[in-house]
Amino acid sequence: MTLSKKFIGLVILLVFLIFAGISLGSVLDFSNDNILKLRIPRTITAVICGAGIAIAGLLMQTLFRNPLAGPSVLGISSGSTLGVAIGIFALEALGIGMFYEKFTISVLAILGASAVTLLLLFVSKFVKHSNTLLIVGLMVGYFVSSIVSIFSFYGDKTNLQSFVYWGMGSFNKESEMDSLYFYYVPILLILFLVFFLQKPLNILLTGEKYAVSMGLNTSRMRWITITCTGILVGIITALCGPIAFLGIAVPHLARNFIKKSDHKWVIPFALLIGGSLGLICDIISRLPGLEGTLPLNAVTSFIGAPIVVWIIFKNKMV
Amino acid sequence: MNSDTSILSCKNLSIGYSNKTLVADINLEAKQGELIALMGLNGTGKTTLFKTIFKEIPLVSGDILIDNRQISELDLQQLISIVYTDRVSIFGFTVRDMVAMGRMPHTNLFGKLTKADKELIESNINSLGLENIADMEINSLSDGQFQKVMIARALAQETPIIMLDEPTAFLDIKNKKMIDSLLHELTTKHNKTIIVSTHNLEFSKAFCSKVWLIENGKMTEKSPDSLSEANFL
Repeated sequence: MTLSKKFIGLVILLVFLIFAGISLGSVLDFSNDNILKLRIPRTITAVICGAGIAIAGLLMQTLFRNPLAGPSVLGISSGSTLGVAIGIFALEALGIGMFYEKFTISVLAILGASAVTLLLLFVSKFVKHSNTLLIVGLMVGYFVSSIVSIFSFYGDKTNLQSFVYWGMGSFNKESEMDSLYFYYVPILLILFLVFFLQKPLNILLTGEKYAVSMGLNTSRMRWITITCTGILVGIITALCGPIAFLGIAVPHLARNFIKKSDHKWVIPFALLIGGSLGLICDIISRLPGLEGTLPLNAVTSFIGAPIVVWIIFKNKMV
Repeated sequence: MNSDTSILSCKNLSIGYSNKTLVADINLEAKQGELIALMGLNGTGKTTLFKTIFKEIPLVSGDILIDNRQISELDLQQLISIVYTDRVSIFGFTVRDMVAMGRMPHTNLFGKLTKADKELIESNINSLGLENIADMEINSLSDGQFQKVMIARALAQETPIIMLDEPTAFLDIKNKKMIDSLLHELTTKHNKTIIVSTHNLEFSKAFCSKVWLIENGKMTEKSPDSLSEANFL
């Protein structure tokens, strides 16, 4: 099958899934306007955030030339989680009412991701090799997670409950389109920008030494890549909670589907597969017959974890 | 076919790391079409010289000139290409894809290859005898084939100078000899200036016009025939 046929096939699949996402659910009453008003934004969020987290994973895997790199590995997702933990546990102490809570938590999640990203950028000035930066990212993630655990331990029981609920992840945390634009616009802007990075990303595949010899400013490219990832992960985590495994799994699915690593092809295919997989996970989480909605993270882990194990065996990392 | 034109020259050059000079007062030059062996014991500064020429690390003092211009003023990707010892592993990358990477410094923002780029890539694939494996994945190549591909990539970069950092270090004797003759052919047929970091004295004597020898913190130009194993013990 040619690449263009595969591309068209994926577009058709995505369109089908969008219709399925809007139609399917525990309530099948399509005459109910409220159902559509809830499902349409939820479906759009699943597609955009699925695609966004996939691109964040792709950027990290190319930058670190490591198949297991992803937003969560670098501690960027943990940074967002810390922002949310501060928001949820500190809001009551500061006496901030519910009206501001949603906005404050979102901003704190973005700030948390950005803070970790800035820290990584600062460290990257003194670190020569990307794999060292990957290890630093992992340590930052552990450090930030320990702070979150301390917050959780001392936190109020009700707040702990809402924090745990947020951590389960959902594409349905926000349904007002006016609020959603606040999240969609920067994600879409970054996804557009990534198309302009295909050449330097391809050069980076050959490794830093060869990349330098081909005239690539590797420090600047590292800045751009980490910044894009930080914004994508911060905003998506603020909107949906931390999304496990999609960031690692989707780039591999894309490369294996097209049998190429050329970013000219991998970027659009990762967008389509990420959007489709995000939507598939969302549909599974609210299949008809289920009472309520399954946690999104449970579904993404159920699908993503076997893929990551497959990657490990495929790359002979055992 | 050597010409008298000096393409790369080092003047009173000292190289090293953060105040620790490894090699001092280098005064050497490479001419167009020369095959030069860069020799010396491990840790004497061969790779450091490559890194300094590539502006990866700053020079301690002195000047490096290419075509009589300071390297600080130049876009080196148009002038020098490099081949390293270690392999690069990229899923789904064919020999043709890898050779095409050599054209990246010459392409537009999206890395689009022109008709002329594609012709040059095919011509380099053919001239190195890679046409039968052009569609094979680089991950499935032997070490010798892989180094040939990386040399084809360096050729596709169309730079007058090619530097190779121990390109045959992990190769068997057959592949070593194949790469050695290939490098010699590139200087005679393509008029490239090639600087090879190597421990192979036999190669230097058979193919190189001169040896840049690093010993005791100094780098001097030697005739390959004047050297013996005693210089490296």
